[in-house]
Amino acid sequence: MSVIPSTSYEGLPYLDQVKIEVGVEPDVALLRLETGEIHLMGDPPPGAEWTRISNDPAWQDRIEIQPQVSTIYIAINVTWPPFDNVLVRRALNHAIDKERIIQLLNGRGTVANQILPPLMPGYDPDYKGYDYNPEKAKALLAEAGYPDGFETSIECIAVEPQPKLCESFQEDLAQIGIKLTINTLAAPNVIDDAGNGRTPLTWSGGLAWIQDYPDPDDFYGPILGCDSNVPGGWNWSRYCNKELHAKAMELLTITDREKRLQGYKELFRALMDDAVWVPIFNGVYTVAHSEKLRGEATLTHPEHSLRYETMWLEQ
Amino acid sequence: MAVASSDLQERESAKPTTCAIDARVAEHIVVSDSYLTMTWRRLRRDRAAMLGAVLIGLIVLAAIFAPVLSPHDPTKQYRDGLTKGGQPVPSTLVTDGSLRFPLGTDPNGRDLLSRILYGARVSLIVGVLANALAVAIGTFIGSVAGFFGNPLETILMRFTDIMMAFPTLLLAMTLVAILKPSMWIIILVIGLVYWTWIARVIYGQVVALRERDFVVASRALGSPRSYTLTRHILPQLVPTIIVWGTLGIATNVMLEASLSYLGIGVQPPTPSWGGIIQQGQSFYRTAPWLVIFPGLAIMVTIFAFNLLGDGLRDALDPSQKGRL
Repeated sequence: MSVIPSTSYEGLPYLDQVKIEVGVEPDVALLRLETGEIHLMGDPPPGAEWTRISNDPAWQDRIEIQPQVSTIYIAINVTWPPFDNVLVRRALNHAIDKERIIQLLNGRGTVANQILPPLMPGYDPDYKGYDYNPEKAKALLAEAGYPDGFETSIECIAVEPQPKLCESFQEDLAQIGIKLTINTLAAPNVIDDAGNGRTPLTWSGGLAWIQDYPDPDDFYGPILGCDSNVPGGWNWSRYCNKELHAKAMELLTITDREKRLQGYKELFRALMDDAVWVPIFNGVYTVAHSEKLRGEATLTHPEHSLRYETMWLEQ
Repeated sequence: MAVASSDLQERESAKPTTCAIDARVAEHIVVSDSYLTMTWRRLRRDRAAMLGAVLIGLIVLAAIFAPVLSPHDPTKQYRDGLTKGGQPVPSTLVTDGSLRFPLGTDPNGRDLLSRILYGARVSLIVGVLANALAVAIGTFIGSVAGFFGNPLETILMRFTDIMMAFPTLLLAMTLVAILKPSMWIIILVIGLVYWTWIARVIYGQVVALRERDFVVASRALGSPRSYTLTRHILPQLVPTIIVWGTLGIATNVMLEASLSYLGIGVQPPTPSWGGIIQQGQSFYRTAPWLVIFPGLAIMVTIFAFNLLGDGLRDALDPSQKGRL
C-alpha cells in the first residue's frame, strides 16, 4: 500500500511517498530494518530480540517506548459452568502469576490488578485486587466444590508472544488442579468464538482492549455492558448485570467529574468482585525505526494513527 | 485337498508326517527360519544398518527412561529458567559443578534437555504407530486390489491415485484442523495420508505374484481365494512390509515434526521436537540452541531409521540391492 500527499494541502508532509507493507513477520521486519530496507516497524520488536537491541547503545535512538492505555486480560465466560460460580472465577484471579507474564514480555508491560489501566481517569490506585496466591485459589476451588480441579480450555491467537503466555497460564492453573487446554487460532476465529460464547476462557492478548476514547466507559460499555452482550459482541465474559448496568447508564449522564469518576470506581470494584476477568497487564508500546527517521516516531502506531505527515528522513 | 497336499509333501520333504497340513506348516517354519537366519547374518555384516539399529536402540532407551534421565520436569516453567529480561538461559555451570540446565532453557523457562528426551516419546510413538497403521491399510488395499483383479483393482488403485494426488502435508493439515489436534488424532491422520505409497508397492508385487506357479497351484487345488491370499501371498510380502515398516517411520517422524512445527501437532505442554523448534525459532539469533538440539534429534532419528531400513532391504532381498 502506498500513501502519497494530497495536492490540495500545503506545507506538510515532508515525505513524497510512504510505502506500507502488511503481512510481514516481526522477525523479518526487524532484519529488514537492520539491513536498511525499511525505516519503521509496524509491530513491536519481537521478544527474542528485544533484550539485545534495548541493551545495545547503537539502538538507543532508534527505539521508542510508550505506555499504552490498555488492559490485557483473560475473559471468563460467566455462563459457562463451572465459571458461573463466582468462587471459581475468584480462584482463577488468585492463581495467575502476573509477574511471570511481565518477565515473558521482557518487561514490556506492568501488572494489572483492575479493569481500568492506570492512565485512564477513574483508575483506583487504592484498589489492591487479587494477589497471587495459589493456596487461596485452591481453597476457593474446594469451597466451590472442585477440590480436585476440573478441565477447561482457553483460546489464544497464534501470534507470538501470545501462545507462550497461554502456556504460562496453563502451568499456573495446573498448580491448582485445573487442566487447561490451549486452543491457538487465527485472530478472527478467536474473536468469532469469544463473541458468540463458544469458549470458556479467552486470552485478549493481541486483540483487546486498548482505549478508543479517554473515558472509563470505554472499558465498560463495549466490553462488559449488557448492550455488548450480544452475538458477535466484544463482551467476551458474556456478562450482563442489570443492576450495575442501570448504574453505568446513569453515570453516562453525570457531568460532575469527581462524582462521576467515583461512580466508575465503584462500578469497576463491583465488576472485580464479580471477577468477570483476570486482568493481567497494562501494555507498553515499543517501536523500532531507522537512524534516518525523524519526527514524531513516538506517536506512530501504524494501525491506529497514521502520523506519517510529521516524519522526515535525514539524508 | 488334504490328499493333494500330502502328495506335494511327499515330493518336497523327507520328513515323516502324521497330518498333511501340519507338515506343510512345519516345512514353512523351517524355510522361514533359515531365511531369517540368513537375513540376520547379512544385516549384521552391514555396518551402516547396525549403526542405525544402535542409534534407534539409544533413542528408544532415551524415550523409555526419560523420567530417569531428565534433569527436570519437562513442563515445569522455572523462575531461574529465564533471564531478568525474559530471555532463555543458555547451558550454564552452577556453583556445585553440575549443569543447572544442560542444554539451556526454552522461551518459557523449561529445561530443553528434558523436553527433548520426553519429545522422543512422542516422535517414536507417532512414528511407529502411524506407520503401522499406514502399512496395514496400504497392505490391505494393495493386496486386495492386486489379487482380486477388476473391478476392485480399478476402484481401489484409482482411489489410491486420487489420494496420492493430494499433497501429503496439506491433506494432513486439513484433516487435523477438522478433527482437533491430539497425539492419537495425529497418528490416525498420518496413517490415513501415508498408506498410498505402500499400497502401490504391495499392489505391484501382488500382481506379479498372482501369476506365479505356487499361487496358481493353490487356486487349482481349490483353496478359497482368501486362503491363498493370506497363506501364500502375504508371507511373500513380509520383506517389503518390514522394509516399509522401518523406512516409513523416518518419513512419519518428519511429518509429525512438521505438523507440530505448524502448531497443529501434539499440543502443549506435551513436548515434541517440531513444537520445540516452532516455539524457539524466533530466538535463532539470540538462543540458537532452541533450534539446533531438537533439529539434531529429528535428524539423527530419521537418519537411524533410514540406515536400518536400507540395510534391512538389502539383507532381506540381496537381489534387490540398491532398488525399491
